Amino acid sequence: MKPDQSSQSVEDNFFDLFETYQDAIFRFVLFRVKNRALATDITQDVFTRVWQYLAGGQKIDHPQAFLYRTARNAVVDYYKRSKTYSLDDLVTEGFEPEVDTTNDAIFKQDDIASVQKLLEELDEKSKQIIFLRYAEERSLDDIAELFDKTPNALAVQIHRIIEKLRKSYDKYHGE
Amino acid sequence: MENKLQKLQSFKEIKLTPDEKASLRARMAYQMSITPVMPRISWIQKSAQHGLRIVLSTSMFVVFVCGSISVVANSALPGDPLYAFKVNVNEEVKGAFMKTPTAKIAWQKARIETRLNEIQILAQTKTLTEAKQATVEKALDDHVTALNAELTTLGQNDPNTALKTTTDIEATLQAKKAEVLSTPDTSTTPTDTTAQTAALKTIDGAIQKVSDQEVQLLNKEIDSIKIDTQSTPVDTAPAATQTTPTKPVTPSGS
Repeated sequence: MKPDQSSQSVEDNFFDLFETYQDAIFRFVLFRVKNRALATDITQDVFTRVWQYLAGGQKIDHPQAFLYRTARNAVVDYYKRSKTYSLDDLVTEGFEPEVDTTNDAIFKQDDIASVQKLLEELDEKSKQIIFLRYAEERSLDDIAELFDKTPNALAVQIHRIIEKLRKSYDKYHGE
Repeated sequence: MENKLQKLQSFKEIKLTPDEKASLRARMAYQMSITPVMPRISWIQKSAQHGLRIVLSTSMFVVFVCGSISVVANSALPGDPLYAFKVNVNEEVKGAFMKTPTAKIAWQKARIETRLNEIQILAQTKTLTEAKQATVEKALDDHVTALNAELTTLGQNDPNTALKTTTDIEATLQAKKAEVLSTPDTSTTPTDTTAQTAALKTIDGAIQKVSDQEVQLLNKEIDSIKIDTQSTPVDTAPAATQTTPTKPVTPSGS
């Protein structure tokens, strides 16, 4: 059956989003779960949710913010679900509970690994803000929109997070 | 510290491999096939649907409430809060569906009987007050007036049926009166006796009104017979000449 004009435009719109943001969303998720296969599954879940939203007749005004927000929720949902699984189940699904859970060499670089270690002390939201600002180099405006803050408030928050990281770094490495 | 964080930029090198992308695209294509696009609805259609939903749900609520009130009101007696609803809404609505004069007369007759039953119950339960009696009398007046109007209409076309119906109603009222009178009087106070007397008074009032109507119908019937009698010689003159002599036979001619 030939899809109608509006159905076709929804599909085109979705594929545009998919092609533009699939790597960014994958990185965002991988940064949190540190497992490539799992990150791919969650990325699929994110785009499935986006498709269901679009197919349901809804419109997305700010695609980037919408996608990152959906990714955040998908990661949170994954952690909520995984709490109910046994460790064996998680391992069967591909989850590796060891410290060295990543299969991307980049995580193993010394300087990255040390930053990662510092970031683990932050709360979830702060980690995401730092990732988007420094790894993805997103603008303050984009991140502020995602977290429902003003750019000024976000700048202040980033400053505080960096201060916190600096104190932690000094604590581990001596002043 | 910011310099260290800048190193996170190397994360940008992480990408999905072509195989992973192909696999992801295939899975998304499957997902899209099982969740087709729903037709997009304009805000006007949405508003109309929303409005229609509100109207329907409100209507259903109103019908439910009115239906419940109507059912409860059916057993209301004079003095009850829902009695006015029973007489002015329930019965009027039922009456509106009566189309023929015969059906309307039967319906008014049933209403009169219902009023008399009510006053009988009030008298038996010793709860008939002056106010309740006045309410029933007022309702009876209205019913008898409506009944008379219908009987008058019927009487113009079918006087015999109208007269017979009036007689029937009067007989019913008399029977009801006898029923009230035959009810064993267990009253212990003068007020109780007053209730039965008041009920009888109301029934008598109704009987009187129906009797008046009966008299009116009879008078009309008599009038019409008189008119017929007066007009008979003119109308039947040619036929009479052929069968019977118009002139009385005189003693001299015989």
